Amino acid sequence: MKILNIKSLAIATLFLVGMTSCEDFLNRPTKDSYTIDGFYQTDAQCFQSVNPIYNSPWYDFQRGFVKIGDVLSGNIYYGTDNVYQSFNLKSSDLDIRSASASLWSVNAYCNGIVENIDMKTGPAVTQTTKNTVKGEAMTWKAMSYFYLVRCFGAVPIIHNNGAIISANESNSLRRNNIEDVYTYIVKTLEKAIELLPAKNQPGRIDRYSAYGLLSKVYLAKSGYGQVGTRNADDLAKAADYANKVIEESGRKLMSNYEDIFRLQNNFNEESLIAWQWTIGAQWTCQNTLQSDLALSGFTEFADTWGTWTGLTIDLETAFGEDARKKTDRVTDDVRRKGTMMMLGDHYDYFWANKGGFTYNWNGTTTGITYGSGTGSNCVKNIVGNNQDHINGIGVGMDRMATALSTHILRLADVYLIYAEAKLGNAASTTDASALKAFNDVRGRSVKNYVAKTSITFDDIFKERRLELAGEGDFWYDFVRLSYYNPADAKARLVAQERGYWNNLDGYYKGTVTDVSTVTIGTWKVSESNIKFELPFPDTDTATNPSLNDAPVPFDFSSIGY
Amino acid sequence: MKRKINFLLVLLLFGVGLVSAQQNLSVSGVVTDASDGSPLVGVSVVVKGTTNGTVTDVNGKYSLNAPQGSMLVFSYIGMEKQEISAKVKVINVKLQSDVRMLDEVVAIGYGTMRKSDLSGASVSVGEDKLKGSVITNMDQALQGRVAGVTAVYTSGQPGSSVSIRVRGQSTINSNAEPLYVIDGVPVQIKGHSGADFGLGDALGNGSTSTISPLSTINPSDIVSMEILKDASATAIYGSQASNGVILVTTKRGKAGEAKFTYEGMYGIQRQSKRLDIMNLQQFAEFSNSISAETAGREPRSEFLDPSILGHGTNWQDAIFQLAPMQTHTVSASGGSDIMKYYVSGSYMGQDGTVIGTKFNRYSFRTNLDAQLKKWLKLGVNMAYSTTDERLGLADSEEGIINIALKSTPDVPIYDIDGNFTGVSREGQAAQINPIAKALSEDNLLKRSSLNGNIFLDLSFTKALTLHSEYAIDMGSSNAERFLPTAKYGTYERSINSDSRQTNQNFFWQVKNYLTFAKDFDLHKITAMLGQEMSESTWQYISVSNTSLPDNTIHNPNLGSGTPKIGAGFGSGSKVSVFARGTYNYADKYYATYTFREDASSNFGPKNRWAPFHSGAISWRATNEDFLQDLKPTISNLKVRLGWGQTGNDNIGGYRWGSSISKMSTGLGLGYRQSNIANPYIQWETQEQTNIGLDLGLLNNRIELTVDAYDKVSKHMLMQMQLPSYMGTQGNSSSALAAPYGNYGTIDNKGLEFALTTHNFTGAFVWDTELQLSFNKNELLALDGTSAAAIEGYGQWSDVVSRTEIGQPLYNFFGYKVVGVFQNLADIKSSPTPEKYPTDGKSFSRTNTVFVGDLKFADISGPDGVPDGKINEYDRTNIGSPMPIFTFGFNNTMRYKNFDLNIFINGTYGNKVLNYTGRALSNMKSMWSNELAIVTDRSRLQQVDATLTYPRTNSTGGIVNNWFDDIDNVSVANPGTKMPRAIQNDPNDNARLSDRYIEDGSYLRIKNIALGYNFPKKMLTNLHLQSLRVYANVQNLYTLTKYTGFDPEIGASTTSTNVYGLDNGRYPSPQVYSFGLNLSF
Repeated sequence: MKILNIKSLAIATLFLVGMTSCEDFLNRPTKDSYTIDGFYQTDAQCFQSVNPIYNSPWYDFQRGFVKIGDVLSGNIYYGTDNVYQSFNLKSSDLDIRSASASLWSVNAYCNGIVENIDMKTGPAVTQTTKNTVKGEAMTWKAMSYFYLVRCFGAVPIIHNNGAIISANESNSLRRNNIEDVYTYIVKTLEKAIELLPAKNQPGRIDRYSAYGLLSKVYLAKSGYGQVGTRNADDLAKAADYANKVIEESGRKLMSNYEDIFRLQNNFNEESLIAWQWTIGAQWTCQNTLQSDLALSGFTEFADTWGTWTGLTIDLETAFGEDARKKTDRVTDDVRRKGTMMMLGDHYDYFWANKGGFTYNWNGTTTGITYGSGTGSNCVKNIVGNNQDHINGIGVGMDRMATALSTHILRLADVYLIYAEAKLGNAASTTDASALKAFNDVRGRSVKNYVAKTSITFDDIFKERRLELAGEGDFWYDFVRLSYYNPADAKARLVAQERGYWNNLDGYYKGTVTDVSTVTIGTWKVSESNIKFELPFPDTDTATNPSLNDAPVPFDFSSIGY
Repeated sequence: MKRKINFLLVLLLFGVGLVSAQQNLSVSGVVTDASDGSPLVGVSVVVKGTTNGTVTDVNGKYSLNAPQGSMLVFSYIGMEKQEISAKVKVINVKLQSDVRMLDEVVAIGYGTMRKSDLSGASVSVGEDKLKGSVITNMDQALQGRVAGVTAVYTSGQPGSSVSIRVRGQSTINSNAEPLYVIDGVPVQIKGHSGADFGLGDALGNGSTSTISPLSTINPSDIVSMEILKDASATAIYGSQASNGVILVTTKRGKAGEAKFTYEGMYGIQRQSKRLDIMNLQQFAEFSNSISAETAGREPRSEFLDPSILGHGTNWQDAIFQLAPMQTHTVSASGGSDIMKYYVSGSYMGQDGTVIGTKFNRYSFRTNLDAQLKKWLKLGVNMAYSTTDERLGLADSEEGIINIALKSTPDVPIYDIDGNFTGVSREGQAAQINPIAKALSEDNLLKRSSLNGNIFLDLSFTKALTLHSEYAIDMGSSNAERFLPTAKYGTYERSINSDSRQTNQNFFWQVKNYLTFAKDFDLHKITAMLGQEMSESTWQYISVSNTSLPDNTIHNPNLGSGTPKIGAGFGSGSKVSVFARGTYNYADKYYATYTFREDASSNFGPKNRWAPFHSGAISWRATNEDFLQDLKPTISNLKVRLGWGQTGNDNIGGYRWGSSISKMSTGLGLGYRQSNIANPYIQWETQEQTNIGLDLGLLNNRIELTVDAYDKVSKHMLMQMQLPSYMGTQGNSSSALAAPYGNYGTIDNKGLEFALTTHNFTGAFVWDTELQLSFNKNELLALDGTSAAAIEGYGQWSDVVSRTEIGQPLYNFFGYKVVGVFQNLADIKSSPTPEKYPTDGKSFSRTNTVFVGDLKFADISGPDGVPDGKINEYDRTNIGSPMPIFTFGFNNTMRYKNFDLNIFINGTYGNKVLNYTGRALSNMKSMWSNELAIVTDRSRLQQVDATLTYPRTNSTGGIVNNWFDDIDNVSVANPGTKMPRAIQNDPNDNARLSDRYIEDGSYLRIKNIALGYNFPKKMLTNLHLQSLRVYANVQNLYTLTKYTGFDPEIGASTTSTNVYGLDNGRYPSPQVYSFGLNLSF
């Protein structure tokens, strides 16, 4: 029996070892990072929770930002076969899908931050921090909705993602009326303005960022549902809020236009709202616009393919340029060279370690491939080579990654909003403050500028284009105009020259000498193609067919502000 | 005849009774294996009808006293029983192996069982089948061999995985692979995508990858595999069993003198197929035509006269190579009654048929058994292996194969200085030379694993034993991705980068189970009660940097860029209790009941535990007295019925809470919420009913097994499918992950046939085995509205598949092509395309629909009925990637010392999305090569040739611009199915449509092997026990309509929820090999 005793002991021991402290053994929350319940305990953590809203969820919008903002609107040339250039947009377009995913992702994160700051913050977090962080998140939320309503028109208002998921309503939501979306944006911004400090840390959103955005929202909203003219109350509000920024924020226009877009000025005072990219281990933390826009061979990483992405002939013409000229570039408006590089242009700030970059086309510059059909290439959103990146912020770039901030609301924009709001429904204005705002912007960049004494809508429309070209904004001027005068908006688009030059390459390289062989391959968009609302991604309409139903009013009683 | 046999039997029985009174005789002898003459140890020798018996010793010797003339029964597992009358003193016996293996003992999980006693559905794959084809991974052996199991090579790359579906896809998660249990230790399959190893998207964007977790195991060490299919069989592995279980048994020593074996194989692999893409002449003609017709350009000057051009560069020939492969395994086994061992070491080296890819494996195994006491047995299994791979980039638009196919024939591989070429062309980045890319960019992966277990078997009494086991599985991997500085023509990368990642994981498991087995007369009872717990931990560290001094030393530490660091760690655990009882009455009636309760750390405190029940009954009719008369015509008839539940927790840890992950930002460190929590997440459960029939005819010369099943997976673990406005879509590195939970129900129904016939026995032996598996799956329910569906994506985020409620999984989703618009009247009389001019007349070649565009079917509209317009509502199911049935047909012939095996397998009824073909026939660009079928594109002609349309072209000349007048053009080749070439493609002819859906059915001569066993006489002089040589041809011929390289395409590596998408998949090679097996 002795043997059996040993055996019994063995079996008992083994089973005991097996069954001890089961629940502790099975409890395995994430160990290598924070969990939502353990975070939001210090002021620093609260700020860290809103930091990603300044970059990563916007990452997927970068292409849409350029293609919707500048290609659709006729500033950037992506090739005549590009669906944005030709308005052949379909609901299955990948960039629309990505743009939609990105904008809605910003909203979801912002909703989450507001909720978590309310529910999860520890006692050590100050009220000021809570307010600031919520204010930043709400401004970003308003920004994403502002893009959404201008891109897609009526969209559903998602105020609390968790509640919609719990109620199992996520696949049956209806769209909300455009005016309600604007009301929602306004209410959100008003709340943000209440919460935000007048001055925040560099690069972050402050109260005046929100005021600036609110003025732009009111300017857009002023034409919605109107015929021919705009709502005077909204225009007055747009002017008021813009004026607050101009008068009270203490911010000034940067003296040199091109400096705004340089890496070392990521946190410049002209920038009211910006995406703050970086170089890091997490994909989506970086700016990849340089890859799409810069000349092939521009960096050391073989990661640029923008050779055939130029500025349109129409924009060249707007700056007074003609690509058929080999010399005598337009230099009286620095914005021309700051927006488009053309034959003979020299840039000190690109390839600084090699004595600067010259756009010489003839192939003597190592590694660069030229080929733009319009004879120009993009300058904005581009940093340069690796050493330029180091010169800018001390660290190198990476494959498809720069840290260049993307300024999506600038003080100059607000100046022009102010001028346009003051002009209102009049044919022209001589209002001193409106003229000052306009002349300040134009005067900064135009040499020997003679201040205008009267400005019209066309003056402002064109000035906005020249000032903001390549910054993903021009399309929304058309959307804004289409709200109350769609015929005018269409006429302006139809008139644009979106084509290319034949034989330009040979002419620049010297294989063709006669300039008369450089002929225009004209390309204009047909009016019937133009639509001011992008199609909803088809995967959404397939999953939720109610999106095709007429939009409904939104119940504002639930939002708490 | 039958009567005669019965009479003999009766006589024999009487005889036994009669002789019992006779005198005892002392009998002795040696029992050997008839196949190789080796002594058999432990053979039971019993005087028939008595309990008087013995077993053979280490040398196969026995001796016992038996009544003279009595019958001695020699029996041994896996051998045919022999009965010999005790008439002389020395009886030497040669036992033949039992080819029919009816009474083979098989592993069933936590125990073994006689195969004939099984009530569940399970199939054995023995060593003979494992060796039947050239396999480098054990999962490859399952292809076509087992009814109900679909095994598809994910890639033809060396060492790559086989996606295995046991009875259809029963969960929507990427991990629908079965559970592998090697000698009782579950194989730890952590994430094995490229990203998981630190190779980024180099191996595709999806969570499935071609890297096989099983490629670290040497198939030569395996003696058999049991595939447990129905729930009653798998239930004992409850928690992880819902995708089926594959039990792997490795070789163990037999008592006796050491036996050494060597198995060697050398083979040459090749790619036998080339796609028909345009050669230089065709390409020049195409380029000229597309530039003139679609862009109004002049032809490229070098293409002015295509007829004088040659064939140009054949990029396909340049990327494919003849690739050698070899394997060598040496093993030793033997031992005594007390101690037995099996030790092996092996090397495998395989180059890939796409340049720049290879795979090497070194593996070692030791299995020991020791009888410590009469009542105590100890066993140790330990295996170590290390693999080393150079992985190319396949399955991607940027993969070597796709780049090579798109590379134009006018560009040479090398320039005149012998450097790689590279060209930048309009509208695309400098296209890298595919040869340069394949050879210079490194995607390297080294893995090593150590796994094994130690177990004790305590026998309390003959009937009651305790099995107590401790198992471990340690694994580590090192991955490196290196992009060198390079200059190929206009393609230049002047800063290099290197990233390295190390992964480590450790798994341990303790299990104890008590087994009770006793026969009470005709009642045989077994009972098992056990407990198990396990923990797995993992961690990874990655470092990357740029600007290394040169390309020779790949160490991120040397880089002068900004280093990036990644690190993470975590753990998971499981606890289980389980019990099983079986009952057998007179080998006629069988019953099994299994219960298991599991807890998984993947679920929150309230939902951790889940119980799983299962039961099965069966009836062996042929053991009934009233059916004895039918023997041997009906030699075996067994009916089985089973039902059971199994579970799945394979969803990753901490989905019940929200974690926070780091995000670098321009404002400093940031932290984002990673996912939306679902505190209610719980076990996925599956219920399966199985009815089966085993039939043996003509003394089992014909054996048929038929199984029908219905399995329903409920509470299916998956990510909630949400529209983009919920904010959970987009780049996985930035998107807030939608909640994971129990959101769907899938049903799989199927029918399996396995027919084995012994056509010829005797000198010429011919056996055939036919496997047929039918499976039909259906998504029964999904949370959300009735319109909720699961999308699958192509390379990036284009929707290619859509799984709707009431439909099979992963249907391709797109438009149906009706034809080509022949002329304006045709356009006007058809449903209105998107790009139909609003005024009805301003047609434009480049802006609107035009003659030569594709006509799509008007299937539906916003109201669910055809609306006369072509838009996204007209997308529909355009084919299922799931086969109607799969089959395997194996023929084995033996004559004297020769044996021949011919194995054919295939699928029927599945569709393949030729994604590569789509990219190679869009006719949008004159700068990349396309399939030669584009020469059959719709070509426009002038109806009234007298009309002229003078227009100034780009060089100032006047051209006749007739093709812009839609009233005056028609299609010159009306029979064509290809649209016109147009750079802009306003009608979106390249949209996903049934144009790219192809029949993926195939029949493949998978394997032909001819072997020769040298006769014993010759070997004795050489001191060899056995010597076999063989030659083998694999993938000799594939009969298919598929136009891509290889129709065998399984789970997509580009994205989850997609199946059968060919995105430049690495094709399976042909292998010509020969080998040698010898033992001494």
